[in-house]
Amino acid sequence: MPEACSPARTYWVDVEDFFQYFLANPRPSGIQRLVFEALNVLPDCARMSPEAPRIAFVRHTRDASLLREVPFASLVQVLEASAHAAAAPPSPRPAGRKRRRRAAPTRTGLRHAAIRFFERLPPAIGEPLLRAGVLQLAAVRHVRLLVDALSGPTARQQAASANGLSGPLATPTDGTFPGRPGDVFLILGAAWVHSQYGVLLQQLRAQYRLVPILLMYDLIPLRRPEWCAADLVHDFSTWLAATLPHCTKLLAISRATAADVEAYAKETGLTLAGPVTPIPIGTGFTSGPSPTTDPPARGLPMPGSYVLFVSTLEARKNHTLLFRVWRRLMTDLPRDTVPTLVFAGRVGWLVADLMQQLENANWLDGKIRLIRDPTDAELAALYRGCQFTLFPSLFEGWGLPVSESFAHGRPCLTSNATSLPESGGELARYFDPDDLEDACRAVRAVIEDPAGLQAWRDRVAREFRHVPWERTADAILAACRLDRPVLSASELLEQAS
Amino acid sequence: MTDHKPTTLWVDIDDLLHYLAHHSRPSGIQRVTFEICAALHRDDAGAGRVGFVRRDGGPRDLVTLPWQDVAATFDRLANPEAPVRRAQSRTRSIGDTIARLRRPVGGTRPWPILGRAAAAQGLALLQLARLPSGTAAASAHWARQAVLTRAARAARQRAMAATRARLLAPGRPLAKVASPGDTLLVLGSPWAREDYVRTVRWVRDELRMRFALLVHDLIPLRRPEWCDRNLTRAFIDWHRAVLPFADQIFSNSRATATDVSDWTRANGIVLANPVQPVPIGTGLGIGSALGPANAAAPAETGPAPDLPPPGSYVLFVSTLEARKNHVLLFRVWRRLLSDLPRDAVPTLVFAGRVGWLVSDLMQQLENARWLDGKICMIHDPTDTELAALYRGCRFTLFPSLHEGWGLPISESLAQGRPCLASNRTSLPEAGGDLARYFDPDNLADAYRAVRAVIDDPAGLEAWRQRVAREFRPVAWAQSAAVIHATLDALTRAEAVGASSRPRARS
Repeated sequence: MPEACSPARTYWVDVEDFFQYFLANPRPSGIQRLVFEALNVLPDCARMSPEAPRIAFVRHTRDASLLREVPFASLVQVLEASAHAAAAPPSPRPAGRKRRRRAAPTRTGLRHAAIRFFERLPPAIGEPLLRAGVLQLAAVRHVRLLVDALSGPTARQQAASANGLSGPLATPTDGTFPGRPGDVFLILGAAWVHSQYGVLLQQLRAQYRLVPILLMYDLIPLRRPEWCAADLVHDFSTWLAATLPHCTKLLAISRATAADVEAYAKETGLTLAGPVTPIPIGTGFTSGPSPTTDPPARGLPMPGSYVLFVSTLEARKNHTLLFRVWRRLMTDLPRDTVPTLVFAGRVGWLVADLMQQLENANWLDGKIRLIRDPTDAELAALYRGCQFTLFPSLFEGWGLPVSESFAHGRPCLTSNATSLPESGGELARYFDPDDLEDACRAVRAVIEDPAGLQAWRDRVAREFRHVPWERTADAILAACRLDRPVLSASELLEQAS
Repeated sequence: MTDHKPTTLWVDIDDLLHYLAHHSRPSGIQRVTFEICAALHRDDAGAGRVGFVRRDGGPRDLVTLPWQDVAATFDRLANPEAPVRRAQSRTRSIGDTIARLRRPVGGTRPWPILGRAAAAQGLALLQLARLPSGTAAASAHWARQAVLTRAARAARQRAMAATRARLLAPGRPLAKVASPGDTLLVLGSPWAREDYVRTVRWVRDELRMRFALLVHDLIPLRRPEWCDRNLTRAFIDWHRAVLPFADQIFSNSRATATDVSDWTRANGIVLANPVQPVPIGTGLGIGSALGPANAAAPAETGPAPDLPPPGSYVLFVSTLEARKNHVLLFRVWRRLLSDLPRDAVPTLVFAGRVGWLVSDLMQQLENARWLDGKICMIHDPTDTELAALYRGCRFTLFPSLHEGWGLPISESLAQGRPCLASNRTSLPEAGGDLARYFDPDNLADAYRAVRAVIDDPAGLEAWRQRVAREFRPVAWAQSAAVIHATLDALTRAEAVGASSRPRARS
């Protein structure tokens, strides 16, 4: 095993999904922000680490070399482009995204209509027709895959590279990739967007003997498919089944996710090479325009008059609960003692009925407000002006809004589900997101005790310790610094047989 | 005024007729209205002290109509002749092979992909090849259906036309037949009539009648989020305008009575008399067709073939709408499935119409593949199917967040099935001490309650026996009796008031 002793291993960080993400979405989500912050400090941390590996960023190629190095600057460029694209709020949203959001439900609707039609036919012909239709779609899908596999980059990818966002991919490669046995292949992002990822890992291991190490965010598509698009559930589960066996080591963004992944492995009979390692998550973001250079945000709710819930509006985030809490506060307390509840975020999926209910209730006569698609500057201003923040989510992998609230010096009253107690630690207060009574009690306790809230705020300001992203990077590096490239699960199986 | 001269009760059923003309099936309010009307009519036994009126033109144009024709129309709607069974929700009917072929093959190597494409294409053609042999059966099916539907539709249209003609036949104007001291009673939901208050003022001031109404709930006022905004606006305006003129307000529960008193007080409306709760009968539609005694014996129709097997499921009968809280049971079942072996978890059956504000819930159920079949949906069950569903269920659930009364609970008990219900608003009144309760806003509590029943089959059996033994159905005659007694008391009070000093209230 001589390569283990080689001092200059390289950690190849897969950033393909980062580029793919910005082809379809104008603003970074939590995953992109987290990845960017970690990668921003990773090279420096690596230089200081005992092994001092080289950190390099790679994208996928379609030629035999499989991977090609790209400079970190290209990530910065993509992120900045997104910040500029979204700088002018909120009207000029890129048309592409809207269309993409709409398209899925329409397609599903059509599909369901067709299915219902076939089901209504007499079974003697309805059943064969339905099956024939499903099979025909499968055949078409495979033919398309075949065409993809035989030809070069698809039209979509070509179009993508033409729009400049994925510029690096367009430059020709020299067909070689300097990966060496024992090098780490680090997967930190949303790699499940690549359908053939298992195959790529297999080839990387066969061709370069790279050691894949994967960071897991959550298993929500498997654990709570109701909150995800059917495509995502399917893609994620096939991706996971194909990817996990190739990974030598698994990291997780929380102990909750680590435990969940281990439970999943046990359920599916998959032997992991070792325990899943939780890594600390940094606080605060450097990305995006800095608040100081921005014009002050105007037209937001009056500072001190409101409580803030920062999140995309989606079923999982449980906005419904806070709506009911506020409805009850309005009946139990004098109106002027109830602070306004501010939802700040994008309007996501599976909340059309909630939006309609808010509409029907006239937004509790203005006691609930929705600040749609806030800019970074507006978000910072909203945090500054809020009494405290709320986060009633039903399921999370980590809980960035909780630590972000602390980073802004604001206390957070959060759900106690999944990873959130890790994210909130001792500074947050908790309630059961599935129990209205408990949530009401918790919210009222804070609202009715201004002195206590002030003390809590002081305590947050005094005791909150920023977690520098270097700690995240160091933890990743430590996990990669294996004594020895341990055999992956599938290799163990091969040896055993 | 003398108190021995009998007065007449005129029931305004215009909204019921309007509903029947525009909807294919009566809902809760219409059923209750109908049953009370029928009881009042039976009670009267031809004495002519109960009459029915509808509106024929402006707010003063109330005319009488014969009850028999209303009853005939209602019965036909509640029990359609030829129930059309819709396929129930999503169970995986397509074979595993197909499911496997639908997934893309891993890898970019062309041969496996080509293999799958070919297999899928081949099987697709094979399915199409089955069509010719199926066409014979299908065309026979269609021919049969066409005859049936055409005949049924024609018969139905003839009957409807005849009934409508009779219903809308010119009756006698209320102004001609009513006497001072009579009462105009509204049991339904005439909120669509913006000018209803003009009717009420006319009836009281010109005809010297009393006005009484039955309030089913104040949900649009209390929880407007669950109602259409136009409905809420119309509802508020109507109640603000009409309630001050009510000589007597009835309610379907003590909870609704409290709601009404609270709301009127908060809005500066002084009620002439305290709100009087009216007992709500058990046995609606299915209850009257198959009482608890018949329920024990298998119905002549036999078990419907596509309902879930008896004993395998728990039942929730309700329109799917946000207020009914189906989402809670979805979460309870998800947790049951993660905590218990799959075959220890009974299927959860939603029976009802898909209503409003639940498209996101339906999408979530779809996304979760109806928990792989552990939740299923029976769309628009007929009364016969509903009776079969009750017979076959282990127990029923009713997690609603807000009700005026709670028909599904008493219905379940009347069918001899225990009900585990929400503890909100009127529901403890509807369930009494035969039902068990949980907090519909607390997942842990609901889960605990459901688990306790599922984990204890002997206890469930004992509970069932207790329900069968102790449940006392409430006759609709009791509802009618309370209405009569309350109105008679008003008449007596008036007579006493006339003979003594004037009272403070108008």
